[in-house]
Amino acid sequence: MKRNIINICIGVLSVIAINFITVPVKAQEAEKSPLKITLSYFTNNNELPYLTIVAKSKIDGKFQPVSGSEINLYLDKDASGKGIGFIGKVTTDEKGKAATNIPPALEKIWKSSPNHTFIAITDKTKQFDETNTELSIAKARIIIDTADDKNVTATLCEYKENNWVPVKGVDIKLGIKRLGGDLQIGEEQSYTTDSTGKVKGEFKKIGIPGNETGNIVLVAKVEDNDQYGNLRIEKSVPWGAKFVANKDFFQKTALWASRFHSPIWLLFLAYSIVIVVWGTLIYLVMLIIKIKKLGKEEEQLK
Amino acid sequence: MEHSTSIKNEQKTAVNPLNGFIGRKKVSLTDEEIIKDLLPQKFGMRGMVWVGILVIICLVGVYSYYRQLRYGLIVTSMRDYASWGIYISNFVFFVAISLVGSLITAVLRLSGVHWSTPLTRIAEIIAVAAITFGAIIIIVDMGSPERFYNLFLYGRLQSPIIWDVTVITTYFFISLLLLYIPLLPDMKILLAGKEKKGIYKLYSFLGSFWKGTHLQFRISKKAVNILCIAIVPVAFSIHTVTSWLFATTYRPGWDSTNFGAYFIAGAFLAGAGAVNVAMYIFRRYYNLEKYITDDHFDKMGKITVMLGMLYLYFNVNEYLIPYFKMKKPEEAFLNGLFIGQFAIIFWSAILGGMIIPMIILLFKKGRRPLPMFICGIMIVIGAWFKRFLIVTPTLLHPFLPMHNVPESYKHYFPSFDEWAIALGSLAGALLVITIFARIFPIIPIQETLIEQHEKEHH
Repeated sequence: MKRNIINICIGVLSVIAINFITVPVKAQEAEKSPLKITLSYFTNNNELPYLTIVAKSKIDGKFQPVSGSEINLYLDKDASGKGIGFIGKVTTDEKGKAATNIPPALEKIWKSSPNHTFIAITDKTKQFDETNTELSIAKARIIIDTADDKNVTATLCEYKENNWVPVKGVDIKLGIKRLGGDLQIGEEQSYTTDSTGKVKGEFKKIGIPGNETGNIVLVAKVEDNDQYGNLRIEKSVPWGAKFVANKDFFQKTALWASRFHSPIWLLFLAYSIVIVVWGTLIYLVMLIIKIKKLGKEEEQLK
Repeated sequence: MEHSTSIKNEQKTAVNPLNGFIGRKKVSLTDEEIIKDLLPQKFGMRGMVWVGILVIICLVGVYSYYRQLRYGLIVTSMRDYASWGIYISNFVFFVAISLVGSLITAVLRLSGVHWSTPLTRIAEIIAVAAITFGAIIIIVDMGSPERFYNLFLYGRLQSPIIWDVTVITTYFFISLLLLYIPLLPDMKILLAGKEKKGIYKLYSFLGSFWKGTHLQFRISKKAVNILCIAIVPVAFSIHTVTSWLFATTYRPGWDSTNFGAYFIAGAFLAGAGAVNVAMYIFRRYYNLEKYITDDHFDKMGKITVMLGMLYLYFNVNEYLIPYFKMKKPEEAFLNGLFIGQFAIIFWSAILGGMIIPMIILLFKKGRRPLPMFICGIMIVIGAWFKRFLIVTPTLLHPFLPMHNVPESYKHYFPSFDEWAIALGSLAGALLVITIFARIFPIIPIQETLIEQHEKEHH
């Protein structure tokens, strides 16, 4: 009996001890989980470029966004690897994302070279060690051109030795800007630039709804290119069908119409039921009043 | 004047055998004894502790609601997908429970069943308390309750929300009348020989005009009959319309033509479970063994089994058949219920809230007071979780997959404030029932006397 009690005590103490040992180890492991910073470079319509930053970490066995992470961003580095131009400090949102433009103060550095490196640095925190992430890009641009026969031509050029030089062998997507994303103009998902840096696509979405004047927005874009990042250019063309707004849609008598346009049968049904039921209830209240009146009369008789 | 039996006749009556039983022993009671037994009783120590606990839970709920008003719905765990949480589950639960008023009072009365007389007021106060807090909890669910009036200014008749508001208001009013009119004759008994001070001022205000004349009895009987007829379609409407809040939207689990009937069957079962619990508590703590007899439990037990079978039948149709078909867009939702993250709650609600109580109640011994009370509790708790299962898993399984949303949007577990508010509303409903039973007779005195006299004459 005594031996059993001792065994049980040892067992319980062992479980507690294992817990004490393993819990800090687990906590430490969680702290040591590395912070993964992803930098992406964007230019829209060959205008001011911007960066997006995504912070993730492996939590519970899968990558999850890290919010509130403070990241210092620099443009280019010196020989010792230290950032030169301070772009700014960003903090990731609840989706682990942040974005920033390249400030005008760095124009001189930006123009000084056709190639640049972006550096993202995070300091050591309670959860994560410090990180240093780099992204190198070469300046490039897309030119979009259209012809009357509804052919779209896009040209990709790289900035080299003070000139824009065509680039061969890069995938470009040609599309139409829609509300939920870009719709491809033809059957090809993407086109590869030839030796003149050009791709040509035929516009096949005839009759696609445009705006009130029939304009649609054509898009040519390079996505996630290792050398050039994300480039995008848009051009408005009158190739769509004119959109005629149905302003009477909610004014017709229908189930989806506004409140004063309910279907007659619904009004009839609803009001009939309400009148019958509430009519009955009013009658019942009148009966109570009658009972009250009778009570008062009885009292007066006494 | 055969019905003007109130005080004068009651006092003259020497011995009037009441066909009641304590356990299996038949007893006879005089009118005076009946009145004495059924008059409201002051709270004892247990009553005070009970009220104190309920008040504390309510106050915590009120504080959490203050926090919700102060900081917004962010204090809840509701996000873009699970935009309806335990508030709406609670609302559907309250509406379901409230349906019992129509079952016990109207359906049984219209069927010529007299044994349910001692249970009518219990059922009606449960209905009134539940529908009151059902209405309150729907306002709690609104992010900006100060904009509630816009529902009336801009509400569309085509929207089931407007139907629900209309039907809830109507049902509340009918239930109130059905509680009040049969209470009038008891007011005279409550006021007999008492000075109009304190609580007697309230009795006087509510029913001093009741003199017990033949005409007054005739009019009140007519009014109750009209109410009993009117409440049935309105009660059916209230829960059908509540089901349509779900069924008129195209979502897995809600897109069903069966939902109205399924909700009503579930509501009757939940309400019957609540009455079983209330019967036991009132009988035990108000010493009403002579009035709420074993026979009442036996009959309510049989009704509960019948309602349980009906609800089980609808559950088979709602869950098993879709699971058998397993349409691709509903697969994640159904698997979540049957074998996934909601499986424990789902099977607990089905087994613990339906099948096990039904099996217990099939046996005569299972229909005795204590097993009935335990089964009632199981049914009521199961009913609450069943409403949670109707609301939440569907919202977490939209037809269009969730993309690029924060992790917190993909799950729902109620926050402390949500629990506090939901429990506060449940405690509030119990508090209303408790206070009502403290002020008014929980078993209709006059009706008990009349029934007794009628049996005597026969």
